[in-house]
Amino acid sequence: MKKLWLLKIIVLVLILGVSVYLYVVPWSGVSSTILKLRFVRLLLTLVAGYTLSINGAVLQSVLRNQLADPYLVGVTGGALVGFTLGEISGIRSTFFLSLPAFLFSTASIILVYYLAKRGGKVRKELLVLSGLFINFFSYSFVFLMLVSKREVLERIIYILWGYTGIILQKGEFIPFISISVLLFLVPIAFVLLSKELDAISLGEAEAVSIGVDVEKLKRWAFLLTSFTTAIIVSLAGAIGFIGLMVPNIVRRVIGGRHTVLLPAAGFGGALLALFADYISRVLTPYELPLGIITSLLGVPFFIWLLIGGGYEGNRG
Amino acid sequence: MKVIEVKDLVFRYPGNKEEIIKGISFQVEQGSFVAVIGPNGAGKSTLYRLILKELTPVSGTIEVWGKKLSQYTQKELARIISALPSDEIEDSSLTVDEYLELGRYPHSGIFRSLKKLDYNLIENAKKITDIGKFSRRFLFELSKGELARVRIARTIVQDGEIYLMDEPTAHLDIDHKLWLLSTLRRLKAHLKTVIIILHDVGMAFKYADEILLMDKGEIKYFGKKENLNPGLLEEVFRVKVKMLENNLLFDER
Repeated sequence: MKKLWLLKIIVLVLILGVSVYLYVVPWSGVSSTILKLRFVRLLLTLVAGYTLSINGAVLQSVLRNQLADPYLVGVTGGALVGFTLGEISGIRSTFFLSLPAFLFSTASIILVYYLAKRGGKVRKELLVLSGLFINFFSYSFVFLMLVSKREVLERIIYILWGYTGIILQKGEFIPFISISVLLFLVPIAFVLLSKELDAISLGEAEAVSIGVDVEKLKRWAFLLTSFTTAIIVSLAGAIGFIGLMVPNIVRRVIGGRHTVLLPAAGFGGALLALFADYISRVLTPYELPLGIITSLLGVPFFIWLLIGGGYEGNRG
Repeated sequence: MKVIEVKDLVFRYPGNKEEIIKGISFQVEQGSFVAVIGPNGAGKSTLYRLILKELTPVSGTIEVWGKKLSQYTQKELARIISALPSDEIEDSSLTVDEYLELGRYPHSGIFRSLKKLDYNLIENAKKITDIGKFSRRFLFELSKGELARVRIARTIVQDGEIYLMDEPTAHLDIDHKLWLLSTLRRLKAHLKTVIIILHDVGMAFKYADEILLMDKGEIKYFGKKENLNPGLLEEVFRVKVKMLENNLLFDER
């Protein structure tokens, strides 16, 4: 297979990054409780970056829009609403909270998709715009709920900006590991759909002529990206822009072939999340949510994409 | 042998009263070369999309090789029909070779690895379309004419029994236009069927055996080009038509 060099470099740097992280954050001489906390945080950070980045890459191809990202197209916002509703209605288990989150994230992507569709074509500007409005609505809704129920305030504030330092309750460790494995495996379904994704990134008419059932592919893509994003949101909150930045960089360097693009984006996303989490630890004496770091990086990147970082140049 | 049979086909967009295809019927025999012509809004591209299952008719049927369209999966259909849409390629960060390999997608199994036969077909198509020299370039680096040839190469790689093309000559220079149409004509020897939508009526008349003339969602003429009454063309296209040594000449009315 060609173009594997970037994937190799990313995996190497990722291993290096994890080692540095393990070195900087002491792992010996602490109690087993703290050790467990740190392990959970490290694993969640990596899995969140990996999943969000692959979801971004898939949405960009399926919607043929470089600006698509689970956060920007409203999937994350929808999940937040569902999560908050779950939290308020008294669901305590972290994992059951992902169910309402999934429901609302799927509803959001479908709503945004149909809002942006004009005469059979998805309009690029409308897609991001609709996503932003879903986000406005979500954040307002979450704040409204916060006011009415203050006891969940602190947890939800972190959820709004993304924070991987979750504290698991008793008996949640094993389910957490299983969910992490699941989140690692689900995006592999997209790698198996690489050819179909290659085809749809060329345009729907082209994909149909090559023999891809585009409606089915879109359904699966929306469903699986909403599902995994919803789980990430209910565990680690809304982490934006990883899915925007990493796949766009990878695509520019090695092109759009999904067999390599998706794994490279996944591991690159894990690396970026790790970096953001590390910065959020060292920047202030208090811990910053890592979503703030990714947004600080992501917004200039977004502007760069808009003013010509290949926004037109990459179009046929 | 009938390759495509269309019966009483009606299409309109949901929530829209106006019929874009108004109950048309026709059949295409194996090995024929049909040019579909007609003014803008005649329903040519809609017909293309209906044959490819991109749109679902309101009523009527389309049969391919005697089997209803609904009995085919998209992949099975792409094995039989090498289609080329008129839509431009949107995101083009694949290389020419990667794109051509996608042409073998309908023929690939679950494990997807291409075999020697597939690579031979790709090499052959590159030779026919003379695109070998930029096979490692990204699609977005190509000129419109080069990209058009690469897309035609993809349909050849796909190796269907039927070639269904919507305006493949739009971005081609005159030499490549003539080359494409004569290449398609040569496919007759392999009993391939060609259905091609063309804006250029003169070109359609020169190369096709049969003309399917559409106007406002109806078929005005379908049959051998020799029997087409130039007066009908004058009426549909609102121009003056003259015949000169088997070529059509056009003038304002």
